[in-house]
Amino acid sequence: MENIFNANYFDGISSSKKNALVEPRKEVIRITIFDFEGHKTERFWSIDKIEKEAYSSKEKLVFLYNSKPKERLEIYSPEIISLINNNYHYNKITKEHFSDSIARKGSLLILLLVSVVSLGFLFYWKGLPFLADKVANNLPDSFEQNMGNGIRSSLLSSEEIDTTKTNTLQLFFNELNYAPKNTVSVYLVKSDVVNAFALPGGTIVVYEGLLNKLTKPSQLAALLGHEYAHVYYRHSMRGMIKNIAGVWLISIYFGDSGGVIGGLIENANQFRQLTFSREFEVEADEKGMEFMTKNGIDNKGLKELLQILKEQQETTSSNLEIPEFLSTHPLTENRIKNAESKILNSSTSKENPKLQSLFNSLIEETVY
Amino acid sequence: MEIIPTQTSKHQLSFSGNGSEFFGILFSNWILTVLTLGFYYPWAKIKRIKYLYENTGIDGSNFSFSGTGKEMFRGFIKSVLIFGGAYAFLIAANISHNITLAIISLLVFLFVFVLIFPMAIHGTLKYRLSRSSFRGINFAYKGNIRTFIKLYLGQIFLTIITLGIYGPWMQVNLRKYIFENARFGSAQFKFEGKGSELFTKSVLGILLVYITVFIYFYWYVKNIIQFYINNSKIVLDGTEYSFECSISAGDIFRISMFYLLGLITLGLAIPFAMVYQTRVIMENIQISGELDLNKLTQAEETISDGTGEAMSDLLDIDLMF
Repeated sequence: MENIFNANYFDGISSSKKNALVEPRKEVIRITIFDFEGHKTERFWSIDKIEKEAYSSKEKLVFLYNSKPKERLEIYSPEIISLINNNYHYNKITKEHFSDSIARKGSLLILLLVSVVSLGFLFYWKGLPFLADKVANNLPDSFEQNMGNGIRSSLLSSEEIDTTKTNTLQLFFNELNYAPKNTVSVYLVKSDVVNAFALPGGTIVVYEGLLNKLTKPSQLAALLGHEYAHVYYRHSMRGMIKNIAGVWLISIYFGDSGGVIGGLIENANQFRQLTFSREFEVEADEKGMEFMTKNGIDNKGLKELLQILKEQQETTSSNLEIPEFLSTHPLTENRIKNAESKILNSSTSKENPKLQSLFNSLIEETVY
Repeated sequence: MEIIPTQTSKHQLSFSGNGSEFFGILFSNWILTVLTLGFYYPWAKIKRIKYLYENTGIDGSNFSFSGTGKEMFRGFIKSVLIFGGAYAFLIAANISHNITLAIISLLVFLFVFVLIFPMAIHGTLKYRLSRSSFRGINFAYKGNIRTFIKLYLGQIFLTIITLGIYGPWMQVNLRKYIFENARFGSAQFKFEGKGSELFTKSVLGILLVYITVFIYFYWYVKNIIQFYINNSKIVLDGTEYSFECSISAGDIFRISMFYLLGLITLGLAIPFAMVYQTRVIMENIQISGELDLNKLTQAEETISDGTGEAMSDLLDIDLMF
């Protein structure tokens, strides 16, 4: 008699609860139903049409029968499950959905958590920059131009451009022959700020504060070479896309799609304070020097430029005033050492009188 | 084993779920959804609803939910197509710089956007109720979509032109329509709340919340919940039985603290908060009167459209039944 269990039976036509005895057999479950007068009826449920309700508790099992109307059994003896598993293998009924196994098994959960988190990290660390670069490299030039022009107008609207010196600077840049004709515009901003940056689409902005610290044309050439390398490699575009992608990934977790818009806005503002990654900086340094060498300019210029800036940082750090250029272009000893190691013999470089005269007119003092 | 009497003067709802089980479900839902890039979401939602339903009960039996991920998924696709189609049309029309086309697309989009709310609510109710049952007896929703759309738009219009003052009447009218069109086998429902009552409670409540620097907030929430539940009735064989809610302000406070904990733990405690909330609410709802839950009879055929449910999900509409 261990084969028979107490249960409540519902016929699917009314909600009245009838007492029943349930006996599992090989292909069927035999159900004996007692009505209120004590009369018995028998039902046979074939195994393949039985479904167990997923979240019925340990104390009460619910079996549903795929009939019209749908009948229902509420069984108060959980031992029926072990009986079924041991003797009859009603796999369809007792098998757990894989997601519920995951839900139940704590260790599996932890393992999955760890792998999901590490996958996430891996994706963020390697996958995202890779994808971001792919996207950036496949963006049409016109997109970059428009973006760059838009950012430039909004940034420079609050600045005063020195138009004469801008023309001179442009001539200087053109003379360097780094870029194809008419692809890059350079601007000189009247300001004490020690900074320079590049925008998508080929705009380079230099602040007078930085310009006045330079002593030789090769240093300016190095600066422009570095900035142009950023343009050449589309670093700003790539950096921005990587940034947005990061925000996007995070907002997926928190379910906030509005964050992408916020990210776009945040990025436009951050152009003054782009956090270029170290890789980008090193890339720009090296490419910049390459440009210089190709055009016969003394590439000691980069090392000197970096040293000037480093001194600047050291002398002004007591005033707690870090030149902006340095906060956005982290200066590490490595960069100076790197620049030094790439210096070629000065015999391959030649003096360029045109560059010298343009440079002289640039650093001519304007009275503030 | 419980002793189950067939008649009592008060039926109590019960909830048997627990936080760690629910955590497991929500967590595996989240993982699978992320791994499948969102594809799994309809199935995840079904599991969540099923867990809450099948652990809620009255008179010794629990509710059942027979919705499937597949139905939900189909509905999801449909709603994405409708909404996405209107949106795509809007964008395409604007890119084409054709003014007439752009205006038409804007009107289509507004049309879809305005109608989506009532349609989603209607569809969700129809789907969810048709998939809900108790002891084999199915629930159903008999509301008519055209009637409801007209009602909904009319109520919104009145609320807008009265700058929100009509709001409580709108809430009550919509709630009444929906509730009284629900069916539970041979049983029906009544909602007797009045807009004026809700209005007074809301205005006084908000004033007091300001005066007491937020402390009154928990009593305010309790009052609103009780307003809705205590004015609801179930009608079987001509007799009306009232729902009652015995929740306290302290319960509301504890629930919100639990959710705060959820926030602090970066979401980890939220399943526990949700289970706690469901248990506290359910175990504070009673039906008074000698309602015999053995006397319900089957009435409805099921329908198979999951669109409404998926659409309301898209718009994050939460219906507190």
